[in-house]
Amino acid sequence: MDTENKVKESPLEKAKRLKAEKESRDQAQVEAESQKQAEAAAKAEKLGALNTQKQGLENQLNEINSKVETSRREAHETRDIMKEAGLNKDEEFKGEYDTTISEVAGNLNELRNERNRIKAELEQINSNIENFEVNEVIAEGKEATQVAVETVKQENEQAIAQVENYSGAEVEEIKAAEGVVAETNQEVNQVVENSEASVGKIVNLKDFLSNKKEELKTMVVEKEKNEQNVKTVRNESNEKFQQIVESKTNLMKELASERDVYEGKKLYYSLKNDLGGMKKTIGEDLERKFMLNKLSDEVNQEYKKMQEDVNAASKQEVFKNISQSRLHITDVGGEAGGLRGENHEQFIKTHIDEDYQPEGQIKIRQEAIKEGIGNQWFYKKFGKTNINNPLDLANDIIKNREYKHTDLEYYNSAIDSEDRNRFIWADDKVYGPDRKLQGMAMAALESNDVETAAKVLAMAQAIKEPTARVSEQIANTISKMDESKQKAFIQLFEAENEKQKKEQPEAGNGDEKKMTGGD
Amino acid sequence: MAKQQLSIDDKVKLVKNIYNQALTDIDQIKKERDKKINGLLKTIDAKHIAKATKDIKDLQ
Repeated sequence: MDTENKVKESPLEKAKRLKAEKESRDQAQVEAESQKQAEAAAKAEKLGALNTQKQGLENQLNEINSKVETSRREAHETRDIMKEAGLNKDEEFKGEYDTTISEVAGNLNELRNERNRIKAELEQINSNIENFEVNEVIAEGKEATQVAVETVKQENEQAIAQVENYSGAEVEEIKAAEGVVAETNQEVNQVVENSEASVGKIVNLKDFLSNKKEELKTMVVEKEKNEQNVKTVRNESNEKFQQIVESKTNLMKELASERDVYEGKKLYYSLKNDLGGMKKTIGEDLERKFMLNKLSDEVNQEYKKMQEDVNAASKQEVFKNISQSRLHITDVGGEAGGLRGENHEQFIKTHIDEDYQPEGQIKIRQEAIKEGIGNQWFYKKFGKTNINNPLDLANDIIKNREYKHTDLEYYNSAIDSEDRNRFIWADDKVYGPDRKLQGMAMAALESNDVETAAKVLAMAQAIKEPTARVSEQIANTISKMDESKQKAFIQLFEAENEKQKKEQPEAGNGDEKKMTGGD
Repeated sequence: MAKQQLSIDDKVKLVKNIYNQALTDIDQIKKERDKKINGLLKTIDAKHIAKATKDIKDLQ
């Protein structure tokens, strides 16, 4: 559009436009110049004011210098007069002297202080005049930075508001924006602070250096003080450390002592506890012991009573056995039996009084054998003094064989039973050894054991000839056997019979008869 | 000692430089701030878009 307008612009219009532009530019230049002049005038006015102020202060300084000089002179004169009069040494006027001197001195000091104030102000004015341009630039710079800071603050607020009002913004983002703004403010303030410091250094370089020098001096003094303090603190620390070490040592000793006491108490209570347990255990043991003793007494009494009963029963049994044996001895021993039944009874009675237990009975029988009591039921038990005893040999032959015969069963039961049963067997008066051997022989015949039957029967016959009834019974038994068996038996019997007859002379002496107990 | 003999003109120049530099630094700080704020706004946008997308997907 502008191009079209320019194209369409007529020379007149162009002239008017250019004229307007020039007038506008000239006006701006005039205004700028006017502004510049105004500023220069303002500066000149400020500078003039400063010079006026300076002149005034110089006048004040001259005046105060005059006053100070007058006051000083009067003070000296006053003092000299009073001293010349000796008022300063006179007790009566000494007080007045001191008061007057203080008064004039105070007046003089006031004037001097006022003069110093005026001097300082004058120096500041002189400095301001001297640095007028610099101060002006500083003022402009401060204003510019202050405007910039204010702008930043406003923009910061706008930035936070922008985030807060932004669609979808949450607390997290708002806080982040606040953090950004805070950081910005901090950085801007730091920039302003740094610039002010830099400017200050330039304007008051002399003062700055002087201040720095003083600061350094102060720092050196502080450093020395600190070093001294450090030494002092270190020494105190060492002393305190030593005290703490000593305290610790003492505390450790006390602690060890306390620990010993504690351990002692612990041990004491442990022992006390153990002692309580032991007391309880001892009490229980004593009670148990008492009960055991009581029970033991009861048992002993009961045992004693039982023992008495047993002894009585044993005595009765032994006497019964003795009585029976006596009968047997009488029956089988006879005159050739050595010790007579009555003597035997007497012998046993003598020993039974000492010991009537089974062991004692054994001892009795051993003694009986030594005395020559040749009963078969003694040597069976206490020693085979004569192995040629027929019944004993028969024992060896028929032992472990299961024969079926009344006599033999009886015999076997006696063989396999205990000693006491043998004793009972021996007591049997009905059958003598010959008769028993005959029974065994018949049992062997019934079992077709012709060899055993021949041996045993020969033994029986060697003792005593069989009766007619027994011979008949044997003959009947043999007749029931096979013919071959019958022949074999007869041969064997004759051989055994011959054998027994050959041995007969040896068995025929007195001792043999005693041991076998034969008639 | 050289600095103690600075002329008034030198002082004026130095002071002007200092304040100009300060204004430049402030301006740079503002730019950094604006950059961070814009970053925050972009982050908000991204989250907002992601949330909207998710809501749409959930609706579908």
